[in-house]
Amino acid sequence: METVLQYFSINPVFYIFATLAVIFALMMVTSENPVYSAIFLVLTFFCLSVIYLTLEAEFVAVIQVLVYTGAIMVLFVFVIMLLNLGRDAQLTEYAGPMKYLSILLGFAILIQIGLATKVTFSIGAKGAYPIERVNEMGNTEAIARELFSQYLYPFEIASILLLLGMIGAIVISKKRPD
Amino acid sequence: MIGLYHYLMLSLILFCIGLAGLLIRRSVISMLISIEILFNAVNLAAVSFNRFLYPNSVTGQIFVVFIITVAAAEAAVALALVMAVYKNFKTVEVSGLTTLKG
Repeated sequence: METVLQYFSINPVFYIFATLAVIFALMMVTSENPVYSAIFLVLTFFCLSVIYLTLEAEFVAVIQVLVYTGAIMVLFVFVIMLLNLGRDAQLTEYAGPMKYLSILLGFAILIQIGLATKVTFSIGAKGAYPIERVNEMGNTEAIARELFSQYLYPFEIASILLLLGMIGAIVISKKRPD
Repeated sequence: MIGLYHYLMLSLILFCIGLAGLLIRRSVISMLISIEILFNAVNLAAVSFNRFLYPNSVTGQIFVVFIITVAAAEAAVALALVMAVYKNFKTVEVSGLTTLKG
């Protein structure tokens, strides 16, 4: 398993999949058909999943594919198909001189934030799971141990939140008696 | 060597793309799809901070698990709202939803 992760942390893998993720995200934003948008978003998620593997976070990578591309995006595509949106939900262009100004200001903000992140970070205090231990038992087990001990209450609250979301979705989309 | 800044830059670029999509799209579903990109940019930042600054803990990845949970709940409720809006207004364009304008 370690050899696979080392294979994934070779530099070209990051650059290739980062570029692909940005390209797919741009195509997602600019495609007029919402179905194409959803499919490009799935491709972006797959690229990000590989990026998570380069960060040695294999559990998050698997969850990304399972939950995001497996569950959430199926929900999106299902609703798009159900509403039969097709072509009429088109990208509306706002032409005019303000457009170029806004692009310029957007890039200025991007550079500004980029410069703001150029502060020096230092490695934090040691946690409960030293890197040797994580390598020995695997990332998934480390997350499970932490999740079901220290983060047990947030975990339970998250399950209640999911239940409430489910009930809310059913109540909102249910046909009302007239 | 790939460092923290590379991952933060990727996260920043993805966040900006998602924000731009949120602002320029007029269909509610496309706006929700852009919000998912924003979630993913934040997740990437959390995991990379975890990997480079706190390599001896998994707290950042647990946060990502919770963010994905909340994103799933949000998507379910928001898509139900979209269905209800479509049923009442026969459109999902934000420019058509002006009932509260008075």
